[in-house]
Amino acid sequence: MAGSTLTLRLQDIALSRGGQPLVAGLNVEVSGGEALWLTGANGVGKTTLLLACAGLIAPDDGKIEWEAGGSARTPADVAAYAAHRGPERDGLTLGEELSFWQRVSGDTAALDDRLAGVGLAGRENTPVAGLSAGQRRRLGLACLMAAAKPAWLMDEPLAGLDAEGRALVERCVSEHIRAGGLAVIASHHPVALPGISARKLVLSA
Amino acid sequence: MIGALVRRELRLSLRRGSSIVLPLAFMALFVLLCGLALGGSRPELGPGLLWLAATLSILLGLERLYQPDQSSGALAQLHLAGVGSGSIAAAKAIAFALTTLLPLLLAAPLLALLLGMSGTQIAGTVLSLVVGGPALIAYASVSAALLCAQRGGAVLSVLLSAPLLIPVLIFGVEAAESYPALGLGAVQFRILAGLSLLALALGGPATVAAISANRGPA
Repeated sequence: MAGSTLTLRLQDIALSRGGQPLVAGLNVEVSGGEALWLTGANGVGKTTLLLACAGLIAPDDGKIEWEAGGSARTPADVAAYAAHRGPERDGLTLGEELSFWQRVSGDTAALDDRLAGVGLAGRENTPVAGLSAGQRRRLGLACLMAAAKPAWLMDEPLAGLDAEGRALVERCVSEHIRAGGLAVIASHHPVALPGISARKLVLSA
Repeated sequence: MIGALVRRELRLSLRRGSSIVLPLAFMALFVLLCGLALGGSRPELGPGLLWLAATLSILLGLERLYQPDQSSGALAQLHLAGVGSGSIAAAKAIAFALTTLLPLLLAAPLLALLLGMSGTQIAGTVLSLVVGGPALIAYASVSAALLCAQRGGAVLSVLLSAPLLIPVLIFGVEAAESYPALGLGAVQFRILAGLSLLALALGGPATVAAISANRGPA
């Protein structure tokens, strides 16, 4: 992860969602070891910007470039995206869902360690349908760590979490960034990342 | 990777409980009602009724093929995790065949007995379903993948796949009917096999392209 520095470069980005123009003429650059905190009113385009960075929607205008070690990368090479609503399916249990995503990401950590790492130890048999909002958020964080990508795109990572959960997210993000990763975090609440160079980007209509 | 995806699909199907039971119950009820409405045991109608039941139960399952993974964001996450659309299409098709077509194939002989079909007629119908099954699954995959991001796409995908399924249905029934006289070498069986191969050749790449186009949020 460290070594070849990863850079995300947004040049003159214009975004829209459902025919509604949201962001125009946005220029940002984030590198490994940095965090970008996106904030702004509801519906201003924070999630849309994250989706565009993940390559899941195309910007109307401008360029989004990922670069590592001097060569261009695709979003799928370098980025992991923790959506506001996770990919989990109600029919499965927490353990089945997490171990599936571990398997897909080639993660070799033990399932129990991953669960314990996000404060869900011993919950592997809980049905996904019975998880609280905060527990789903923790599952999303575990999937994000399992993906082992240098760039984390996080949509409202603190929503629904208790104080201990918020501290957990902040600690995990700080460790990730200290290890040379980058994070783009869309959040209404400030994410406290002590000792990390974090920039705030306020999106406005 | 395909194995893990198939296991996940099978788990989701079994957990819902209805995925195996519902098509079976549907098929049994359909054949029973047709038997009653058309007046008792009519062995000559057997292949047609079983093919109709198989087609309709596949159409019923279209909605759960891609739509839940599209709307939950799982398709997007699989892409970011580096899983190719081809693996996803293959895994979904295998799991779909195992949860819709396989139970139907297993139940078909019992239902055929209900209609008073002979042993060779039953064998012909089951074999025609095996040979034509890939075509049904391939066309179902394309239409489900194309419309998984649309609101109300399930109804549209039924309308879209129905015309594609008509030739398969026609030659499937013909093949089943020609089996007692001509066996597997009947020209209808060869046409049916050709239709299946054509459906795989066209449906495979089209499904892969549709997944890639629809994996993002709607």
